[in-house]
Amino acid sequence: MRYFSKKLLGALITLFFASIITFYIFNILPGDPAQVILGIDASEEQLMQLRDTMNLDSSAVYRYISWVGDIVSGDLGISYKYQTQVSTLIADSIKVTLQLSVFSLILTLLIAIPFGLLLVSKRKKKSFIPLSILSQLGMSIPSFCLAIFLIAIFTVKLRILPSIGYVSFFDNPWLNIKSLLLPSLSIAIGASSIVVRYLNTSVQQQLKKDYVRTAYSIGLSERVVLYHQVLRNALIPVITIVGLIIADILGGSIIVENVFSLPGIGKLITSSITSRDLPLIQALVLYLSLIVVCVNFLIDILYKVIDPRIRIK
Amino acid sequence: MRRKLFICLLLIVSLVFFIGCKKERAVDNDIIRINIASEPDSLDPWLSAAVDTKAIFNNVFEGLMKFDSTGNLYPAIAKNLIVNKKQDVFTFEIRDNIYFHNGDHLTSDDVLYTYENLANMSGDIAASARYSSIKSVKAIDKYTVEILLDHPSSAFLSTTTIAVLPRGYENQATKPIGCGPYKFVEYKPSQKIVLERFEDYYNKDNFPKIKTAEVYIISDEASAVSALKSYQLDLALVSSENAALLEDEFKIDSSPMNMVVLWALNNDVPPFDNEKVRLAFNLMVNRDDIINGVFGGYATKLHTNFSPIMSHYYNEELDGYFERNLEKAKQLLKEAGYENGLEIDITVPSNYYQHVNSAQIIASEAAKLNVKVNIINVEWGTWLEKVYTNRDYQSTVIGLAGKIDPNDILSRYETSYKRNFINYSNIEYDRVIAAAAKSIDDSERVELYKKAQRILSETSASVWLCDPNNTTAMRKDLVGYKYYPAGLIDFAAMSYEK
Repeated sequence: MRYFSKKLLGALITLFFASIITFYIFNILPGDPAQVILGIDASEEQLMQLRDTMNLDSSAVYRYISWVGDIVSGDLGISYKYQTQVSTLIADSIKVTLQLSVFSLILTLLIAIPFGLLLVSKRKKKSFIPLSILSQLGMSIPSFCLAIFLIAIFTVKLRILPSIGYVSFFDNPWLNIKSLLLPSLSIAIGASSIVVRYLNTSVQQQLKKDYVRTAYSIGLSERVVLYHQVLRNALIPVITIVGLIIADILGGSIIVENVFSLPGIGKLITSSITSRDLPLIQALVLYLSLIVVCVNFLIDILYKVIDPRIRIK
Repeated sequence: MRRKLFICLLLIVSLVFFIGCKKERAVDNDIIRINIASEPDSLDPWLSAAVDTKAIFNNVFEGLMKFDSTGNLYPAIAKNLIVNKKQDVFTFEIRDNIYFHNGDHLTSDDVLYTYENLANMSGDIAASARYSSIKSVKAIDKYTVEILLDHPSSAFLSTTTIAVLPRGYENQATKPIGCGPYKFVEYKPSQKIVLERFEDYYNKDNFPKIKTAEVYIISDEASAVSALKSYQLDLALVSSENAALLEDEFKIDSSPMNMVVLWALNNDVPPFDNEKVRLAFNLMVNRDDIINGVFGGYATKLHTNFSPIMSHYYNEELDGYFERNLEKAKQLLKEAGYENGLEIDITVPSNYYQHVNSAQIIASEAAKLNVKVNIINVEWGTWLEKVYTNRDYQSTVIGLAGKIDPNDILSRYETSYKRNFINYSNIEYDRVIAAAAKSIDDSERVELYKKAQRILSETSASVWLCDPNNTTAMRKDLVGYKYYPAGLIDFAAMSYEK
């Protein structure tokens, strides 16, 4: 219980600092939101009219405090640019990014686990080297680059998968899966290569341990030792990496969503920053910090599940 | 055995998947899908200022008058227009068969509401300066409106293209309602805008043939090109470099967009406060290199702040006004006291790669004159504040979007203009622009605007580079696309050949 309250306090402090830093940065950053939204063809009158809706006249400290007050009462404010509730904007985008992340994670594991096991079983054979090079390659190609290759193959040449036009799952599940396949694949290939590398190193390390020798000496087959004893121990560091990869997927989605024109959080982040949409940025930062905090928390718990010997301090 | 079975199963599943996906292009002639690069700035037509937003939403709204593709005005909502001799009373006779998308009948009352608001007669909405010359608006009967001006103005008519909106409707910013050929269906931020044919549209001559128009917001140009190539778009606005690659498979339309891309020199700060320096750089710049290197050859050279596409007002004598001459440029710099060279800054908005590349070409050229150029990349919001609003810069490369009224283009250089970020000030110029705005005789106006363009060139207010073309790639069977310099993608005129 003490552990939970400590974690919660830490999370709240993190959120507080994240929000105050973004608020400060966007106050010193040059750029008048009204001018950015309307561009250089706007007349003075149009600018004034838009500025009126933004409430920018009061002092920064006052605006921050009233923003915190609104947050506590559950009101995220109204976006400057879209003129709608920030909460609806984020709720709409979360669905897309969440689905993309889940898809990517599933694909990552689907690729990483069989491939990782293959690599482990081939560790003493000649075919290890090309496989290892392949995973190295997957790791070093950036996701946006992969995305463009995938579009060139599956969209432009084969014309079997779309590169634009997101469809909601509830409107048309089949089209929805199709529209997310390429984006999640371009994230998953890089992420799974990282997992494969980690799994491989981790297994190699475990194999040198004493318990492996003991296991062999009591007559267990290589298969049993590898999959029942070694793998379980080797998974611990890998899980940490999967945690980091979730953060990586969220980061990767910013670029990939722009390449595939997916209306997710990543797209919302870029557009809110370029249009100086302060209420939206603040809410997004809050949301992202919340995710990172939660994921770390979950990872801690997973450790305990996998290895009960680990005590959470 | 189990393994073989698994592999077989996997193969079957993937085969089914591929067959399920593999579909030849579904020819749907009831939809037109296009892309735009940025989100609409505002759905409210009175608030929106961005040209590409207007290009879409001018399908939803209509004004008393409308621009055709050559920039001439013709009556739209108005059936007839009577102007008194002094050009200060405009009487519009309105068609009696116009309906708004919500079913309301359009009458003189809505026109009254529109112009009273724009001229800020009710006092609750900030007025637009363009309509400040309106003295009074009167509804003579159900279908006749009279607009009285403070002073005679021939430029007033071009401002009556603004959308007429239904009285009392408050949700224009989220669910706009107009009386144009297409009605607004939905806007999904960072996804798409959907418009649908308005079945009660009054103008049967320009009645939409294609039922649905979808506008996808695609910020990445490579994505737009691949979407076109894979038939996910029917028409794509692309850069000229990409247009060249798409020529075989698609129909390409390329026409000057009435924009002025210029190397803007801040006339208030040294060394650009010296006319000789400004002239020197005008003689130094290689406009051909910029057009070929940055715009793939698809652009028109400029020597003043006016595009030749506006042929009625353009001063042809200024064609080739600045002939490239490095020797003379060197001489001029020497006369200005910079014989040992100088160092200048060009602040460029980093999101417009074309401006950044132009600045680089300028820099390499300037090195020949012993001028060191520092290119400062700033983000768009920063550029707007630092350069455009606070005028805290030495020089910049930027594109100024064209307007249909020459006054809107040239008044940027008026001393008193609020956004005269070049800090140009010339008494003679101010006098000419003011006289032109008041003039009611067309040929006199034309002469005055031509003179204004000449003054700009003669004083080298800045270095004008080019008017880049607007390039569009479209399905080969799509007909009726026309580029409107006023900013309109006219969906109603488009159709597919059988």
